[in-house]
Amino acid sequence: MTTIKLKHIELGAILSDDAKDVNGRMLLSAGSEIQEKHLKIFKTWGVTEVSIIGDDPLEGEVDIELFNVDPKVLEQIEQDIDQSFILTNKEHPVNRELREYMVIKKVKEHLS
Amino acid sequence: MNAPLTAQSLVNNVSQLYSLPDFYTRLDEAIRDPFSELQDLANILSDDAVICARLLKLANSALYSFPSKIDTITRAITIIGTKQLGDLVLATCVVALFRNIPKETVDMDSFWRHSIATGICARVISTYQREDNVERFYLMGLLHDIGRLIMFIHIPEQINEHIQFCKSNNVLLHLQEKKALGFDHADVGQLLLKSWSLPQSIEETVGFQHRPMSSVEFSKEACVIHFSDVVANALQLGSSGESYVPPLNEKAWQSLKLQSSQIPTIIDHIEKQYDDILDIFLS
Repeated sequence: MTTIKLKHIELGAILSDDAKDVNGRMLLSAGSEIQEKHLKIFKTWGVTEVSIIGDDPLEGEVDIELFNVDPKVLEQIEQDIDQSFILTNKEHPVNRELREYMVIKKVKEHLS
Repeated sequence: MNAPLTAQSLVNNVSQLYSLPDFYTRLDEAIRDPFSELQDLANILSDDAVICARLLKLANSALYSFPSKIDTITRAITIIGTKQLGDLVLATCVVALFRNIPKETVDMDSFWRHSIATGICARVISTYQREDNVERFYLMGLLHDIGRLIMFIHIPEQINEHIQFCKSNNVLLHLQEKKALGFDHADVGQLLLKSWSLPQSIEETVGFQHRPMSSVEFSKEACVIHFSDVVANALQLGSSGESYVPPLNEKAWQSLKLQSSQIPTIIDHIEKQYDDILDIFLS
């Protein structure tokens, strides 16, 4: 069993636990095969991760864009983003998510 | 000698110039009148072709993702909902009210981008919280920095000096405002919305956006707007003058009962709706 982020799910994966929204509303029961429509339902109800049978197929490949960019450019991007976050607690999980999103966004902009 | 500058004196200066259109007052009365019918609301709306066009675009936008095309205003009202209609019309009226401000004073486009991003984020979060009027949260997000707009219009040199000071010294703009002027944009915004006789929930949420846990009655709303402001600043979607991501109030974050792993999904929702909504409100 692996807890997996929605964006990493491959269609056809099998749920190992029931998928429920934040209020406990049942969305899809354990043992179901995940299809496109289920992903839409999960997104609609704010579910960001589910448990599936087997391994996370994309584990370790999340930030693939970051490997394709010149390290100096990446450093500059990270510096700029860090400057805007300078008054925040960078260890806070919310700020970590926001910062990671911005770094990847800026890298993508640079590469496109 | 000039009278001292206060949040109230700033608002008094603009209240004549920037007042809500008569059209909105009539619509608001009709919405609150239990005897009015859908057609009455449609009739009032039909006086303003621009608003009608915007509402139709909104009803057909990613905000509602309705499967078929909505082509009449009465149908749009049933999709949007009468209670929500008033808040959306108010949002469009306010954006229109502050349209023609010279670029040298304030970059209005960037200002509204930040406000709209905050509004969309607040709307997304309120959907998660199962709030019954998510448009109220959109409106509060849209209006949260309206006080800063009044400051840009009336004391542009001062406010631009403060912005420069904050950039060079890593200071949050609202703290600098308070230190230098004795009040901040949240105070000005709250008083302006009060002068427009808007519901207390909107006025107080705007007033308490930087200290959301201090609001007695509307702390839930203020927490949503506080968090949405953090997200909109972090995503660099426009700017209302602030150069930094504001620190997140931990108690406010806890009260939202969200998980940090939901942030990418929240951002995804914001991005999907952002261009559509910008197009509707800023075109």
